[in-house]
Amino acid sequence: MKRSIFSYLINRILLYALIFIISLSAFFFFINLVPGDPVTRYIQMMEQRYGLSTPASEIVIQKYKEVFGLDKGLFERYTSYLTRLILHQDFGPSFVAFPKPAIELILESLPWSVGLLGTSVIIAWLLGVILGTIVGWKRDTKISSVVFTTGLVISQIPTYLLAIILVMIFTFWLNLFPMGGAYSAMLQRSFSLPFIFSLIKHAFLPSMSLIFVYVFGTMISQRALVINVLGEDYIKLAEAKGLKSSRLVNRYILRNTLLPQATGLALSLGFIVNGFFLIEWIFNYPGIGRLFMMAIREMDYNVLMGITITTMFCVLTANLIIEFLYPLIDPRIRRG
Amino acid sequence: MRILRIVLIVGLVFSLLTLSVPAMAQYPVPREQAMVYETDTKYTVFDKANTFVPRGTQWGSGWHQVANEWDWYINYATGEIIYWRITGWKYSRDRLELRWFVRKGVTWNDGTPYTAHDIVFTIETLMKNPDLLGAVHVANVKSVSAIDDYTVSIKFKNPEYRFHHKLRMWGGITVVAKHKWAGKDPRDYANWPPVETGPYKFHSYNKDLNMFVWERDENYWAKKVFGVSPGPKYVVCRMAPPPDIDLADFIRGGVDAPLPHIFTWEMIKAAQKRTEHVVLAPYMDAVSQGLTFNCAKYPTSLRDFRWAIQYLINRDLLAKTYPMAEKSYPTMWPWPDWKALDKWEFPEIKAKYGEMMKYDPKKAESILDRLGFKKGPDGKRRTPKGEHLSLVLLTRPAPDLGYVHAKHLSDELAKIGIEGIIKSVDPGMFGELVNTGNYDIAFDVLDVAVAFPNDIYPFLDSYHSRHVKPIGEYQTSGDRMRSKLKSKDLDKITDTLANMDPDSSKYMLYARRGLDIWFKELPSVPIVEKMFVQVFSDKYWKGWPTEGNMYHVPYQWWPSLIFILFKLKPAS
Repeated sequence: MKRSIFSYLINRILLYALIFIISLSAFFFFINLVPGDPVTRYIQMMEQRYGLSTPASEIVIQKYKEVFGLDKGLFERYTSYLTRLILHQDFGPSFVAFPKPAIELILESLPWSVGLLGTSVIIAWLLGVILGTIVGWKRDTKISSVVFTTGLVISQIPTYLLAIILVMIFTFWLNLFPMGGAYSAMLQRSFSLPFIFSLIKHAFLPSMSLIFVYVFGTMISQRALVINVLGEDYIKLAEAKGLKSSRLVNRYILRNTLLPQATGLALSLGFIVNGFFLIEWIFNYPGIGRLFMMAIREMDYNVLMGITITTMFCVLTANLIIEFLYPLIDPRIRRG
Repeated sequence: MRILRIVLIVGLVFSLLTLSVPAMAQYPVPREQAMVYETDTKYTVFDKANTFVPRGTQWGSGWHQVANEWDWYINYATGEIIYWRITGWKYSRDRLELRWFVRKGVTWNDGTPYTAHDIVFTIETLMKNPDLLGAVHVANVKSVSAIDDYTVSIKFKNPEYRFHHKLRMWGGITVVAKHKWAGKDPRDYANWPPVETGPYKFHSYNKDLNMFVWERDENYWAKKVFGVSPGPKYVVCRMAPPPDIDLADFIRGGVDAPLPHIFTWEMIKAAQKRTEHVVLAPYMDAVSQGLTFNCAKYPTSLRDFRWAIQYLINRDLLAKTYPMAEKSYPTMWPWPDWKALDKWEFPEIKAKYGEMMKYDPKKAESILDRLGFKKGPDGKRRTPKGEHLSLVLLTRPAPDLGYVHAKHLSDELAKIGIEGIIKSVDPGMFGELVNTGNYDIAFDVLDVAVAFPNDIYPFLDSYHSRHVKPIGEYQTSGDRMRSKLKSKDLDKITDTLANMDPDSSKYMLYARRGLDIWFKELPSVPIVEKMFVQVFSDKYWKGWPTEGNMYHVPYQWWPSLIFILFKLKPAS
């Protein structure tokens, strides 16, 4: 049995590494094979924007091509990129914040996204699973069908639309919450009560717009899983044995629905590093989503690569972790 | 009981959140003392003010608008020349030397006098470091020296006629403070907090909130020299939120000057219904909107074919249906209808081509028939060789104005049996395809070359054949639109203009001839004035430029914003 778990884990790790390298390489070639010359375009864009009327100088362009490694051949760029990434975890300099490394920009934005979105996703998932279990368990009651129908409607509302509605109500009509930002402009980052309050207050609306939609999405899938499990013979047997409802739900229903739900949660958490860019944009939240949008707009390839690779890494790692946890959650895998 | 307890706890948390009002301030300075304006850029450069290197300054941070200054300005709305940090200049007879006279009393914001030595140091720095941005501007400089503290002598390798424009707003050479920069590597020196001569000093920035705050310099030199000082104590620059939120914030007075590119005409109309604090200042951008032909590709390489296409443009209709303002104006000129530029609108040219540049599809058809692009039995036109005739109309996606014009031309082309394929691509790709010559007709703004220097030469020069590169090769210099026109006559005139005094009467004669050739060749077609409606809120500040009192170009992202700030007074 130990051997089968061991080979299961080794297989997963090898598959993980293979998928990561393939995706990374595919993305590198995809970005680098896009026709054009980002440095020339970048210098010209900057000149036009700054109104400097400075014709792009070949010397300047050549210099920055060297800085960004674009004076080398594609394969040479690929090998040096891989080496730099694997050995030094370096994505190269950012185009828009040159000479700041792209990784620095990503690391500045990441905690905001993880803090806001991570908390929101976990809260939404927990509430959704609880609500979905209750709605599924009590599926024949009126209140259950009302909650389910309402949930069905709300889960289809795009988060950005809900975000705008929340801003209109709570910011412009009721003046209860700020319209954006991560904390008050009067405060500096510190571990103080006013700052923490400000942080929570600024995160409230973006968080609510995510939770509101995701909680019902999870509820619907959980309800379907619960109803599915309720038809199983072992549930009927447990009921016939006269088990208490709470025990039946906790031990028999919830546990059997948890596997697909946990996979869903892991994937959602993995995607957090990608940021919910529309939410972050609407609320002017300094997260990775906003950075990603800026990188696309300004053609900051190194930041784009950095965010995509970080996302790939997190999604794959979340998958790997969940695959490691499968044997603990599901004894059938443990037994090979 | 349990439910009640949960409700109470939730209520308590909610109350704590909502009652902590001080934690909700939108700006770190009192709103009534601040002028708030917006940009569409996410700030990434926070502690650098160095124009010698890429990303050395942050566009939209306020540095370009309220901290940095230029030696002289042109008020394009009135045509007035503003000698700001200088009292004037004088070229030698042979144009091999320029004397630059610095105004006494100008100081940097740390109190150090602004002198000839700063200008000499800046030009020398660019001469010694050809890899710096701006170095290209001093290519013709042989030597530079300070005759005294307030007079600079710049000597040239070849006769020079336009060096004075390099130190004008949007000119290209930003003078730096010698006492700060001397001995530093210009590639690395941050110049932060910035030592500049402008009316505002750096106050603070907030990376997480995408915001810069500038504070009025109470010792600003122009207060003593010209008796002017800006009204608002602070200037706050912030990144614009999404349109709906931006609109709601404008209505409640959260922002004074939104960015017209994103604060659309529809938003302005909505704001007017909800608040009385809306001041409109519609004005023409430095460029007119038009189309450019790829003169290196058949059949747009044929001059008469280009004229035929021109007859399909209904300017009046496009001006009336202009989406970015209440209306725009049809134009035949490739520059905006600014007072300062009136002198280039030669009556002879207007008489000759004004009548020709009309919407006349029949005329277009007759030209095409004459050229052999005849209709087949299916109603589709073919080339004289019998090949299918289609044109790639390159544009950025809607709602870009170019897209509206491309759609119009595509419809008009269809009516006369030509297929116009609209290729709508993102701005980056648009630049790429235009720069490499992969288009037939591109829709964009025409060049700013005339507007800023108030000179026809840079405009005509951008159509000089020396800039032309083969299709597929990236064109790194020349005009934005890169028409790839090759006209020996135009080249000759342009070369002559390059070596003439722009203020001479002979210059005007050649300029007219050059423009005549340009219209005859028609590498680009001006369509409408690019109107922007700059909107201001007068909830906190009054004195903004208006349609009836356009005392300065109203755009808040221009360095001439300082002249608007001088006029602002508290609204109450």
